[in-house]
Amino acid sequence: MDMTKLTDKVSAIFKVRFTRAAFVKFAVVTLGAIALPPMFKRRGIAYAATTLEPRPKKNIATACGLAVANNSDPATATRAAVNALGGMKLFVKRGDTVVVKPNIGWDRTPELAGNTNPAVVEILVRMSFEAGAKFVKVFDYTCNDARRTYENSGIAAAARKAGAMVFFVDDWKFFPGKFPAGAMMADWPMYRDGVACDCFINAPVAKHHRLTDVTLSIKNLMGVCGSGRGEMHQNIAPKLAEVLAFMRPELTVIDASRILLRNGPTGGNMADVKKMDTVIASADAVLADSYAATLFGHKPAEIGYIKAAADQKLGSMDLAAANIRKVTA
Amino acid sequence: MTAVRRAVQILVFTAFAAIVWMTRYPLTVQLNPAMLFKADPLIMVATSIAERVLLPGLIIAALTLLLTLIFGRVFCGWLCPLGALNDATAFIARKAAKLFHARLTDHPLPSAIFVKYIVLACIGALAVAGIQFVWLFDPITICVRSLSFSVIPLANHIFDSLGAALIQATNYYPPIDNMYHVLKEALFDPRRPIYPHAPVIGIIFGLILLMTFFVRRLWCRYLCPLGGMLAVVAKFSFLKRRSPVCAGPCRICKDVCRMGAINDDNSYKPSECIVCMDCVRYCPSQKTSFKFSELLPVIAAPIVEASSPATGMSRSQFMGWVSASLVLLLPSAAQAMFKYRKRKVLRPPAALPEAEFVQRCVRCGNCMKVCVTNCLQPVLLESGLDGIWTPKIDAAIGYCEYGCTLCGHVCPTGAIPPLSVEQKSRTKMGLAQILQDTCIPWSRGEDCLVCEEHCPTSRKAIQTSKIVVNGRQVLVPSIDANSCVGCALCENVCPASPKGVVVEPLA
Repeated sequence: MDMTKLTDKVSAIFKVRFTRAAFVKFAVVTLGAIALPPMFKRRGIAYAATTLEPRPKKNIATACGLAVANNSDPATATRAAVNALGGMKLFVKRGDTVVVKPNIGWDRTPELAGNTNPAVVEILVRMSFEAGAKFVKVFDYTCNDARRTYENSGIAAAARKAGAMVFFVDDWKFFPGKFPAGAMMADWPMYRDGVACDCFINAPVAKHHRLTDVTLSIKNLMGVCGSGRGEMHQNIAPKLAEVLAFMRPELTVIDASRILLRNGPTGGNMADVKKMDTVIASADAVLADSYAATLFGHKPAEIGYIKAAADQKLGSMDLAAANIRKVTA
Repeated sequence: MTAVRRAVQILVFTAFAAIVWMTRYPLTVQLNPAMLFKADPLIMVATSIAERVLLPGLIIAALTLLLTLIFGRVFCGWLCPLGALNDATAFIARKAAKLFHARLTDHPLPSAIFVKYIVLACIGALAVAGIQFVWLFDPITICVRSLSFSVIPLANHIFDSLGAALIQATNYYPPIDNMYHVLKEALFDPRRPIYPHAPVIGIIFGLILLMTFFVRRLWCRYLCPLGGMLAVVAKFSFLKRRSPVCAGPCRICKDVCRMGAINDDNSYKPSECIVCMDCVRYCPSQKTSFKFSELLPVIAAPIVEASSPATGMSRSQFMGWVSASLVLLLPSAAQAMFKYRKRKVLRPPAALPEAEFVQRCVRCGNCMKVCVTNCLQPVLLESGLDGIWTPKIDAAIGYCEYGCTLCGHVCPTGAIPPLSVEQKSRTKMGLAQILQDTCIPWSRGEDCLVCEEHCPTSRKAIQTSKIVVNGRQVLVPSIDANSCVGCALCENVCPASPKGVVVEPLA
C-alpha cells in the first residue's frame, strides 16, 4: 500500500469535496447520530423529558349507572350491556382514537379465564368502529411473554379480525406520568398509547387474586403502568386509586362470562373456573368493580382498592343507591 | 463461473442468515437451525467422540464429507457462511482501498497452513479424552453465535431507534406506528434481546473478518479446523485442477488464488484448494481447468506436490512433529484439569446431567437465541473452565416460560432434549427458596406476593399464610416443593433487592 497516496487522499476528503467516499461517510455518520444516542440512555425512557398529562374527566350521562347483561354468548351480552347504558355513541365520537385495554396478562387459553374473553374484545372493537372510531388500539403490558399471551389468549386474532391495531408494548413508549404532587405514583412511567387517546375502554376479566382478593377493572389499569410493577404491590390500594384518577376510563366493561375462583390471577385449572355468562358495563369504574366483587361473595368495602377509590370520590361503591339495570339479551 | 459461485455464496449465506434470524417464536419446523450444525462434520464427529454416542446428525455430516471427496473443498469455497463473509469483506476492503488509489495485497505466511491441522488435532485429542472443545473454533458455530448474540440484537436496536425517532417525529401518526409494528413483528423480538457477552463475541467475529485485510481468507487458510478436516479428505478428491502446458511463467493464477494453493511451478495443493475457479477465470492462456480424475484417484497418476528437500527435515516439518507430540500430552493434562462437578447454575429444562451437558453442548447459541424471555444466557466461569458459554437460566434477565419448549427443539446435539408441553410442565429445573431476611412481607411486614401472583403452576407452588410481622397482619409466601418446577419467574419478578426468593438448581 502506498502510504503517501493514502494520506493525500485522506486530506483531500477533509477539504470536503463531494466524492463517493465522502457521501458514504456522511450517510454513516448521519445514521449513526440518529441510531446511537438512545443506546446510552436509560432503558424505557428513550427521549428527552416528555411527560404525560392525566386523562381528562368527562361527565358522560348514561341511561343507567350500571348495566348487567346475562347471555351465554359473551358478545351478545356485551352489546346488550353497553346498549343499556345508552350505546357506544355516548363514549366514542366520530374520528376518535379508541383504546380497548383487555387483560392479556397470562399465557393461558380462553376457557381458563386467565384473560379477557376474546369475543368481548372483538365486539367492543366492532362497536367502537360502528360509533365512528378512526383507530382502535388493543394492547396489554403482559406478565408472560407477549407473543405467547397475545396468541394463546385468542385476543390478538379476534381484535385484528374486527380491524383493531394490535401491537406489543414498546419499551420506549413509557413516559413519566404527571401525578398530583405528593402522589405515591409520582413520575411513574405510563404507556403513551394508553394515556393519549380519545376514549379508553377498560375490559378486564373478573378473577381471584391473593393479595387484593379479586382483580377487576381498577387493577387491570396496571397494564398501562411501566417500570418495575412489582414495586406497586406494596400498599397497592391507594396506588391503584391514583392510577384510576390518572387514567379515568370512559367505559368499563367487566367480562364475567367465566370467572376464576381460586389460584388467580394465573389459573390454569378448569376446576377453578365458574361459568357466569355475565357482562358488566358502567362509566363508573368503582361501581362496576363493586358489583363484580359481589359475584365472588365479597362486599365492595372489603376490597382495598375499591374502598380507596371510593374514598377519593373517584366513583361510588354504594350498590344500594346505584341505578342498576339488568338485561337478559 | 465466478458469477455463479458468488450467486451461490450469496444465496446460501442469505438462507443461512434467514434461518438464524427466524430462530425465534414461533419456530417453524422447516427452518430448524439445528440442521446447520448437523451438516457440520467437525461438530458431529468431535461431539460423538467426546460423548461416546452416535449422534443422528452424523448421517448428514457424512454427506458433507462425501461432497468433499467428490468435489474437493467446495463446502469452504461455495457454501460456508464464514467463508462467504471472508470473501465479502476482502472484496469490500479491496474496493474501498481503490477509492484511495491504494492497493491491498496479501502478505501470506505459507508455513502457517499447518496451524489448522494442529487446532484440529487438539480438538481430536481432547475429544478422545472426553472433552469437547470444538465450540471455540468451529466456523458454523462462530457464525451463528455472532449473528445471534451481536449482529441481530444490534440490528434490532438500530431498527427500534430509527422507528421511535420516525414515530415521534410524525407525532405518533397511527399508520406510521402500524408500519413500524408490522415490520418489527416480522423481523425482530418485541423486547430487544440482551446478551452481556455480546461485545466479546462480536469483537472475535470482527477480528476474524478484519484479518482478511492482510491475507484473503486468513481464517480459512491457517486456522479453521473444519477446513483442516475437509482438507484431509479433499486431498483425495476426484475433481482436480489441470493446467498442463502453461503459456508462460505469468503466475497470475498464483496471485489470484485466495487460498495460496498454487505453487511456483504451477502445480497445486488439492488440500488447500477451495475450488473457487479464479485460476480458471484469470488464466491468460485459457489452459487451466477442473476435471474429474479417474475413479481411483489415489492409484491414478499422482499430482506433483510441492517439492520438499529429499533428505533431512524442514523447519515446518520439525515444528509439526513437536506440536504433534505436545498434542498427545493434552488428553491427560485436560483430564486432570476438568473434574466432573455438581450443577451450579440453573440449566434449561430437562438438560442432561451436568458432566454430560457441558461436553454435549456445542455453544451454538440456538437455545439462547430462541428463548422467548431471553432468560437463557451464556455462562462465564460459574460452571468451570470447560463450561464457558453453555446456557444458564439467568433470573435477572428472564425466566423459563411455563408453556414454552423451544430450546429443546433447536439443540443440534440433544444436550437439551425436545419436550412436549405436557412433559415440560412436569420437568423440574430447580427449586425456589424464600429468603426470609430479604423477602418484603417476611422481613418488613409489607404487602407484596408478586411471586405468588406470577407462579404459573396450576396448584401454585407458592402458597401463602397470614402471620403478624412488626405488629401488622400480612400474607407471607412459602414454597411447595412438590409443585415448584424451578422456572425462576418468582425470582425474576421479585421486587426486593437483594431478591427475597431465589431458585437453586437441582443436584
